[in-house]
Amino acid sequence: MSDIAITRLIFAYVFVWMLYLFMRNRKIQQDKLLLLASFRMTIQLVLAGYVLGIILQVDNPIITISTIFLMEIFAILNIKKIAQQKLSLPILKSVTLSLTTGTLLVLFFFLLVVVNPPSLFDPRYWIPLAGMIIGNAMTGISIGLKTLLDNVESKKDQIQTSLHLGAEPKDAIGDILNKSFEAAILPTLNSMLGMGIIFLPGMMSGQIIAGSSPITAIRYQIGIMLGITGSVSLSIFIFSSTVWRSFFNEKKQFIS
Amino acid sequence: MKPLFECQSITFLDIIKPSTLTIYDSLITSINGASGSGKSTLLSFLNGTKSPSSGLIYYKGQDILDIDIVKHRRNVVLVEQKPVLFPGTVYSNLIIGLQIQHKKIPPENLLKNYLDDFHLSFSLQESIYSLSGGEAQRVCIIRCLLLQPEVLLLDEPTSSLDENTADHVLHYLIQVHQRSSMNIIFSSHSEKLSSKADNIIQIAEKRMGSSL
Ligand SMILES: Nc1ncnc2c1ncn2[C@@H]1O[C@H](COP(=O)(O)OP(=O)(O)OP(=O)(O)O)[C@@H](O)[C@H]1O
Ligand SMILES: [Mg+2]
Repeated sequence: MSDIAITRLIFAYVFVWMLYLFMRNRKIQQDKLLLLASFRMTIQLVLAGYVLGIILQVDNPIITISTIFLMEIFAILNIKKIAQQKLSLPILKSVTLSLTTGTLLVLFFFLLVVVNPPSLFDPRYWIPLAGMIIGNAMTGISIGLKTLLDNVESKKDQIQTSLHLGAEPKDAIGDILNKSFEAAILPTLNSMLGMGIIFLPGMMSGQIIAGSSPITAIRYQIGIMLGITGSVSLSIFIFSSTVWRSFFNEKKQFIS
Repeated sequence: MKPLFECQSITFLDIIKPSTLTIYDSLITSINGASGSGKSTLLSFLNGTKSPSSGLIYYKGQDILDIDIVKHRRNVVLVEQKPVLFPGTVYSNLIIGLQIQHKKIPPENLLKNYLDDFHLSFSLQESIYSLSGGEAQRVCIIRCLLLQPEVLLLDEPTSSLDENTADHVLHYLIQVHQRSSMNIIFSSHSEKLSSKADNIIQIAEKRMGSSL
């Protein structure tokens, strides 16, 4: 595979710069965020590149597993940040439980049953797959959480009225939970629909550019897509079956 | 007279000072007090959707914290001060309480009779977005009447109705009470309304007291 020269890579920032000018011109908010995001993306990827290099070289199961746990922690912190409001302790607990359980179960299953790497804890497989699985589950939970919080806020009268009409708390918030489940899973389902026709997924493109045969790349892609769907749905399922409790107290009263 | 609710030295933040009061069975009770005095708060204590900061509440001799609270709310149904309807039709809103409680849905003509009884002239399929405040309030009252609870709590049930309609609704509720022995407890800040009650709970200077 031919390397991209650093000087040439700089040209890729032309598009960010164009978008920035456009946003400034139209007075669209978030122009600062765009700069910050591109800057952080660059720094984070450069760092990730070096760190990954080291992890792959060391090839030590303890380091590999610790790295995956670190990724989980960063994902939880990221969900906290995306929420743009202070999350109560029960909500945080539910986020943590659902993200870690949903991703780790699927990751272990996927690596041990589907991929079955030559050496069991080969970081070359674990780290990138963990990245994709955790990243997608994180996005799913973020969307689910945001939809949930927005809807609880805008429908609090209806939740309260359902309680007055004798609903169990879980039923009083049931429609809202279902809606946030849907919102969380939809991007994953949509990307499955368009995959291979409308776009080639990043991992597959990467493998092909790096010289793998498209057929190998596709096998991995189908596998990972199912893994992602599995972890997103499992995480969201655990999330929605635990998070509703945080909106009620032990007397089944609504706390808003 | 048998007590229905007994509140023992209940308080709420600095809004309600320790108050002990009894609401009796088989009477119509009115809760009176100025705006902000805690009428709505007291009503939500009674059906357990809020709890006092301290003090105990008994329903038919049992501490309400000891009974299944959802079951209690099904026995003691609250019609809120501000009508809350769910997106959909008048019909779907009338039956939602029954659906929640897994009770049998009555035939449409019976529901239509209720609308007539409450001087509501629209059809069951009317969208709720076209209802006025007073119409929505009456739909909410019917929705709770259909549940046939042991106690019906009404928070200022006639606040957005004109005088004639208000009289009519109150009269209707009194009839239900006489016919079915459903206990009726309502809050109001109007003397006229509370004059129809057998028993008046007065909230004054942050204390609640019964006139009986
Ligand atoms: N959770 C709460 N925390 C703090 N204050 C509260 C809370 N709930 C109610 N209050 C306050 O308690 C007071 C009594 O409220 P409540 O709604 O019971 O009055 P009300 O008698 O029903 O008034 P109105 O006639 O205007 O309906 C109000 O000042 C309200 O702001
Ligand atoms: Mg009130």
